Amino acid sequence: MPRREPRRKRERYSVFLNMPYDSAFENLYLAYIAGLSAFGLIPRATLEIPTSRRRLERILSLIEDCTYSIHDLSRVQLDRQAPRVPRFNMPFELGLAVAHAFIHRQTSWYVCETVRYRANKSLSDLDGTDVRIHGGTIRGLFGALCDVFVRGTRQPSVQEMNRIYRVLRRNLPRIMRQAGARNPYGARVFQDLIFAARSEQLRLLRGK
Amino acid sequence: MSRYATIKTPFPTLAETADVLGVSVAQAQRIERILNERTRGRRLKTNGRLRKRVARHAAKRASKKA
Repeated sequence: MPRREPRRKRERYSVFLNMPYDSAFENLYLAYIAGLSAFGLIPRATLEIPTSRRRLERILSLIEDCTYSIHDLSRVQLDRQAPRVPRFNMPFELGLAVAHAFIHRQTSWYVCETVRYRANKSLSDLDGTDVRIHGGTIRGLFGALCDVFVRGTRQPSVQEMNRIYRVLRRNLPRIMRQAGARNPYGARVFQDLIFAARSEQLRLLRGK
Repeated sequence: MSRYATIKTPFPTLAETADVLGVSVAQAQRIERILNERTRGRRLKTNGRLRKRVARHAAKRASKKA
């Protein structure tokens, strides 16, 4: 019988980020990284998954590793290109996270949306759950994150999150150029953005 | 599930971040260098005007008066 790998210790800083990867979502993608970093959290996403490994297994292990998960259900409409289908990845991963939280009772999951009351129609099983509406704006998203996370010692302000966001936005072309990437949704660009956000956040803590 | 999450852990360092992501600290330091490059360079414009332009125009006006 094959020996099972020892279970990794739950990463107390990690947040599983479940969101769409398209060009229209780029601002919010950066805003999620900036906002979570301001709270001292480390975003994790399926972007990190190497193609050699079975994707579903890796998603499950990512969910298992993370203490929190945020699910953005902003893309429920049909795709513009044929075949015209909605994206099921986000609701599917939300289902995995909810099931994991229900069984293990160690993780917390939160849902964000762009349009108010749309989730009640598209995913009525969530009735009774607080769906945070960011309205597709960066400021709205920072407000939603402030609503979800509370730090005991030092609560970051929206202005601090904005500052981190501006640093990411300014340095994104350079980071992409160094990684040889055409879009920001690559594993290396994602990691570099997290480091950039963390570095800026530590600078803020030092009062520079 | 509670309505909000209270974070009690301290802010992670760059080394801890690298550890969580499973990459080397050297990568973090490379990004640090990218960020610092921007602050080292001189700002090209202030208040929408190119550097020294205001001073140059003022000097020209002053020379005409004289």
